Amino acid sequence: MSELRAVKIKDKIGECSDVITLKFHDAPCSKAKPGQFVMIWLPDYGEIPLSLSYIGRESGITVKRVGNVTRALLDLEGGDKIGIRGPYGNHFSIGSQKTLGVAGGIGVAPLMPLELDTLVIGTKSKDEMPLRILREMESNEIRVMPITEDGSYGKEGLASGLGLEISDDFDLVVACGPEELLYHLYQNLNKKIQFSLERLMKCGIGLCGSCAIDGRRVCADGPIFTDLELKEFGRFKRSGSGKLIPLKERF
Amino acid sequence: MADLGVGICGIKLRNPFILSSGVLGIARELMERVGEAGAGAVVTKSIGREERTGYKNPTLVELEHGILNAMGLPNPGVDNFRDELSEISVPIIGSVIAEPGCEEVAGKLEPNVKAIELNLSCPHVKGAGADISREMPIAVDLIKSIKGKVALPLLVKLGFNSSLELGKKSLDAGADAIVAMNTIRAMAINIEMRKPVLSNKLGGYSGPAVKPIGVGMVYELYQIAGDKTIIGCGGITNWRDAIEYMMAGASAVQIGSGIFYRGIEIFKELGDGVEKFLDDEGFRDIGEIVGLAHE
Ligand SMILES: Cc1cc2nc3c(=O)[nH]c(=O)nc-3n(C[C@H](O)[C@H](O)[C@H](O)COP(=O)(O)OP(=O)(O)OC[C@H]3O[C@@H](n4cnc5c(N)ncnc54)[C@H](O)[C@@H]3O)c2cc1C
Ligand SMILES: Cc1cc2nc3c(=O)[nH]c(=O)nc-3n(C[C@H](O)[C@H](O)[C@H](O)COP(=O)(O)O)c2cc1C
Ligand code: FES
Repeated sequence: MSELRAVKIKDKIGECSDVITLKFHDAPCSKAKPGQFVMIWLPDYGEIPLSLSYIGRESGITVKRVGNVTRALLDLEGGDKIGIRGPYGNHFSIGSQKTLGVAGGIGVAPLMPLELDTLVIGTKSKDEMPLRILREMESNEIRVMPITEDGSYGKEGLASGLGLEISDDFDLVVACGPEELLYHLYQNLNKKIQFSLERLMKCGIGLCGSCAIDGRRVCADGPIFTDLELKEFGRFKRSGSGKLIPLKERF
Repeated sequence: MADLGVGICGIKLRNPFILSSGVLGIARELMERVGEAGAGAVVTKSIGREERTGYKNPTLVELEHGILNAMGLPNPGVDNFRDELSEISVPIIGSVIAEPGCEEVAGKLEPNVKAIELNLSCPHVKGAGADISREMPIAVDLIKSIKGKVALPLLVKLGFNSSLELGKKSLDAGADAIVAMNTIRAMAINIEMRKPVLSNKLGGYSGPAVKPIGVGMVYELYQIAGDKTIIGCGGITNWRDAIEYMMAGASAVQIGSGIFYRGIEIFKELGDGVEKFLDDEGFRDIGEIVGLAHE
């Protein structure tokens, strides 16, 4: 049971171009597990799923601007209220395994509360690299390996390529980012993997079927998966009406 | 061991526990999975002629004693949806939105389903469902036109706001069974935000809170149904609830929100629990408890 609450933004942190972190106090979130998500409601704009990027007395979400609701979230200030329900879904479980995180851009959000050994994070260029987050993770003794497509920060190339290259040194890989990245890792990695997926979410609690992928519900059976059939994964998603459409199209 | 098999309007089901419309019945693999989890049959999402994306989020909110939703009848439209129904091993009941032309939709679903369920009772979409059932003559016409078009059994799904008289008229018009009930029109307001939570403002209430209302509806419908079938729905989360509906007069029951409270495993829990009850109480066949509370 998780009823909807309204919480006040305690702190807003600008991360890099188009990305912010919002922090708030919320008892259910303080007991969440890494990888779980919440449904964030902004009256008149809508409600969207977001991973918890901070879990504790102060919990938080890290958001990238892509459309209506995320744009409105970026405009909020400390003291403003957001509606929240959850935390929902399953979670990463890494235990004491030596874990490599692979993030594509904003995909770093659900990996932030984890005790990783190493993080590979890839973006297009330096201005999309969340430098404050990287410094914070380094101060938590995580080795951070940034990589950009244009080489403007860290190495030059793709996060999936770098992740695969160094994966032999780890027990487990956790990943979040664009589905091409996840699909590529999943197909080529000979290691255990846990990856966080996105599909269109409506109910968030396993009833409506909107987030279906290969017979599973991203909201209730996921968002973290260790294996999937390869019918829809990497190829198809469902639109707002429930129709199967190619992954590249907008919802 | 007691026999859980039932015959609903001539369709044999291995048990009377049916997935209700709008819950998971939008994706082929999920319907298959619900069948594998033990459901006797699966009702699809309510399908219309045209593709609909439904309302914008928030479309659902958990409340203390139930669930409030206004999805807005999202569905891919019958032509896109038919592909989802190929080669599913569990019996499928095709739910059809009550709107003009719904007999065409029923006709297109016919090859892939065992029965049609007419959703006369969605409480929050204008021009469909409950909006239509308030106009009794239109509802009766829709029932007649579907019966005229398809040879399958027709289930008519009513809401709490539907009158007993609509139930009677539906059966007289040719419906083979009544499903009672849909969600109940309701609202939740978040007081800090000072606004209704759902984007549609009004929605439909389901889950544990509505069970006694559904049981009451089934009890009353059973008294006027004659030899026609009543199917119970609303707030079933465990085997006791299922038996309660059956004793009120339901020959089968549907489960929706229970998937949230108990998971997809609920179908196995219902089967095990009901079977044990029947054995303990000395019943041989689940049919023996239907309407028992009327005796
Ligand atoms: C489990 C999960 C965790 C997520 N975690 C984060 C996170 O930590 N940080 C972050 O910035 N983003 C996260 N997202 C993605 C985020 O939900 C979308 O960016 C957001 O919904 C976009 O909403 P919008 O109104 O701004 O954009 P819109 O204008 O609605 O759409 C822009 C694009 O966003 C996506 N999208 C829109 N609505 C939804 C929805 N209801 N469910 C899923 N995707 C949608 C679609 O790709 C769409 O084409 C997560 C998504 C999921 C499913
Ligand atoms: C998310 C959701 C979507 C629903 N969609 C439909 C629908 O498309 N057609 C329909 O006839 N009923 C729909 N219903 C109603 C259910 O089928 C059921 O009648 C109602 O929820 C009461 O049963 P329950 O308490 O077991 O959920 C929906 C219910 C929920 C919770
Ligand atoms: S969002 Fe409704 S089932 Fe996942």
